[in-house]
Amino acid sequence: MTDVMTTTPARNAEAQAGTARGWRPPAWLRNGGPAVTGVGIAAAVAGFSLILLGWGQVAGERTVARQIPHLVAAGVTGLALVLVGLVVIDVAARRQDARARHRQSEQLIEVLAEIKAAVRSDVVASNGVALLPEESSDSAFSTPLELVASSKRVRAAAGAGR
Amino acid sequence: MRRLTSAARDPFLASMAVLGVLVACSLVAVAMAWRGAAGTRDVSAQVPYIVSGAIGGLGLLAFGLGVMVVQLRRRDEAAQRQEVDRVVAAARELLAEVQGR
Repeated sequence: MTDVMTTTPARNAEAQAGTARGWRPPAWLRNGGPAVTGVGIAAAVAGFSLILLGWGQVAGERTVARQIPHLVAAGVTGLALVLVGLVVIDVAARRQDARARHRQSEQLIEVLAEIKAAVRSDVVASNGVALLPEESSDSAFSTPLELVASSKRVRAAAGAGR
Repeated sequence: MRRLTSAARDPFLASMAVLGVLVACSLVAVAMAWRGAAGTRDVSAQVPYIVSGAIGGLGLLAFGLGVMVVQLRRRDEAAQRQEVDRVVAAARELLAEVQGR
């Protein structure tokens, strides 16, 4: 079991960004800021403009055989651009939300780590020995059973101290 | 009237109203395209209606509904973040309690 409280922010950032190897998009693209939303809106506007342009071209032709290429080139492409813009807006919004959620998780992990440290120092001060296991490099509690046993020991020590 | 003013101040409700109008406009465009295309037997006169009304209307409909879904999801995310903020605040209170002992 990985202990989230001992996970460093740098490792979290790396995990969020995906693999460290290979090409990484620039930060403004990765985080889905307002610039990406702007790109999506621009694509949708370009799509609508293309549909408008296609309508003008199609209306200017009198034979269906000449109208169909304009219909496909401008109409269908414009519709596709609108959908692409919509997807870009959606992805940008998802990225922004994910970043905000990540910030909150970092805050919570930070506070929980402080609580853990405070509880540990409290227990050591009252008993003279550390009942909570020392933090290892990767995880403080290797199994859930160990965590339960440790919390039982802490509770028992607190009861004995009173 | 006061309720309407307060609803207009809420960015979520205002955006949903704008998007609702956009979706309604797209449906009107499709209906107008149908009416225009049905009014003539000349296919070359019908095609412009298909491009402007049907494809344009469909694009507007997809865009409006898509952004509506994005807005709804963002609102849910904001509510969820508020809940997590409460958890963080409770953890901070617990920390203060532990440190105060």
